[in-house]
Amino acid sequence: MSVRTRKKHSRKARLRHAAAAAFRLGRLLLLSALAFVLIYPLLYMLSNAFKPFMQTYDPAVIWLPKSLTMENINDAITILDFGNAAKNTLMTAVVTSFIQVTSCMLVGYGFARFNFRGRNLAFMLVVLTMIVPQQTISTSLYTTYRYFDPLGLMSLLHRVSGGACADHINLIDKPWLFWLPAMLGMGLRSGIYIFVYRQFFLSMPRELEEAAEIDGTNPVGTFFHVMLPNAGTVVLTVLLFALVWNWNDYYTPAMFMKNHHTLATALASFQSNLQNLSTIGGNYTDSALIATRMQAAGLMVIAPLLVLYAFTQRFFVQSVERTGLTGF
Amino acid sequence: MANKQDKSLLKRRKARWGWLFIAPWVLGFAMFFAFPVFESLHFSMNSLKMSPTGFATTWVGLDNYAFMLLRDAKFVPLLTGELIEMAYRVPLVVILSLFIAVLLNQPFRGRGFFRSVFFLPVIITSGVVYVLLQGIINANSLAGTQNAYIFQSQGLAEALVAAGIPGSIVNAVSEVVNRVFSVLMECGVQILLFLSGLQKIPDSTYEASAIEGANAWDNFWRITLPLSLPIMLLNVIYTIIDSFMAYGTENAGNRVMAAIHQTGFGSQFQFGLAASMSWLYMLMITLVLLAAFAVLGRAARKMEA
Repeated sequence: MSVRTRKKHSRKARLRHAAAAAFRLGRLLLLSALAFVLIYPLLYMLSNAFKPFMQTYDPAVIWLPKSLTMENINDAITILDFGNAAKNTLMTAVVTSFIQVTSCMLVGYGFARFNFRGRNLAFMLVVLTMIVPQQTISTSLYTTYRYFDPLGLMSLLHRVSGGACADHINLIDKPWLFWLPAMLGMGLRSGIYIFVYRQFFLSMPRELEEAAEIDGTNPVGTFFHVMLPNAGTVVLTVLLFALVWNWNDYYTPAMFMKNHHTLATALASFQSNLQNLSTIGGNYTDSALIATRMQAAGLMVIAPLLVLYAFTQRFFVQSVERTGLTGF
Repeated sequence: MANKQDKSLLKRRKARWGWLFIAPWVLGFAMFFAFPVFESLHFSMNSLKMSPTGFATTWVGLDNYAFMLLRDAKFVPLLTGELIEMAYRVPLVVILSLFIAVLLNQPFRGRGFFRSVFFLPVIITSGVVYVLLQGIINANSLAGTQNAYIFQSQGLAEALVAAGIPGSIVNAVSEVVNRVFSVLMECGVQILLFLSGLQKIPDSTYEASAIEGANAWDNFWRITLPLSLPIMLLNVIYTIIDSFMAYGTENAGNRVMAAIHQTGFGSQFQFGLAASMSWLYMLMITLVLLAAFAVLGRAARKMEA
């Protein structure tokens, strides 16, 4: 009898084992298919960026070009004005990201660790800044930056100095229009970063600071000596998000930087710039040529981000899980 | 007594430090948010003229709104189109993200690799590159479909046709497949958020449920889904605000935003009209968000009780 039940059991177990294996295989296949779809645009860009454009018409060439060319990349660099655009992106997007990471950290800490009247209302307003589209206020932000007069101080100076001092500063086309809001917790998606930092600091044990407070350190000192050394993961997470979003942001530079192209705005006007070339001669009207040049340009613009992500992804995905961005 | 006084003194001092920490934000909020918000409301009821010395406003009351709603034939259809798009896209993004997050939360070899890949689209889709790719692929696609998708399921469609399935069904299937693929590109952050939430559900919860004889399917509906509701709400909000971050042109991306930008900063600088357009858009978004809060917030509370 015992032999028979064991046989029955083992058959059941084998069946369950097979079902589990089938599930694992199905999961792997599904995830691989989805992963392929996600990598597809990258492969597409890579394949086209280095392909001589005439091979687009060659039915034998699907993914791997028969020969490689730097023509597309070289043209893309010229038309993007890559050097200048990269410099401008560095000055705006990258510097702004570092500013945001710092300012939002301090604000988030303030929301997480101090009880003061109006805190909840203020935090609700942080959330409000997240859900109001930039475009709603962009028309009046334009005039704010164009005739920048912080809290009427410039007008006051103008009056006091008897007109020797201008009554406004023109911030349009200057990187300050990125830096200033970023310093004051109002940069691109700053609300999200404040939110993330707040959740993170809320999850830290209070004992950490209490010991320092008993020693008589003031809160700013406590923050820098006790909290900051423990906040590495969340700081880097926010930094990576900020870098990606600021780097890719088209709207702000297109709106307020008339004479300084960033990589994003240069890419947006790439096709028309390419077509303008054809009016001054050269064959720039072929659609396959346009396509390969544009893929090369796209690749050039996001390549730095891809490299950055390749180096940080392992750490990044882990840290998002550990810090628990959501805090629920 | 003295101790108590000390404590309240300490409390007040801490409160002051708290204000100090958020003071920069308060200043920024006033200068770069509150003031522009009120000014743009003011603009929306004015006609603006730019000049080298500044700008002049002429009060026109609700004329801008009337023009947009009654006489402009383009903007209202654009808005309703965006609303319909949002109505299917947001649930699709959220459900797909939850599904993938649940898969990626299971222990298996190669999980780390897949997690990295699924965040990859954030780098691509948050920028101009994405719209560019869509445009190119659309221009190149032989099918010449109306919608631009990053991934064309042409291979699948051809296989289905070869299998003798009628063309209309094949078209419908490949439309759905393409749409799922294009939605997948927008799920990066949402998957990550769900994952970080799923990590917080202790294994003991599932173990206890398993002892009661529940299988994985039961566990999803009884544990995973209810406990993910708050994050689901967060993801709905994120998906909506993400849609107006995106770069748009007349044919791809966020078309409402492109239209507003074109009106305000195109050839005619109709700031006032652009402001009223964006206020109407914001009103619409707010209503959608409130609806999401009402439905998901109530569901979350019910689950808690």
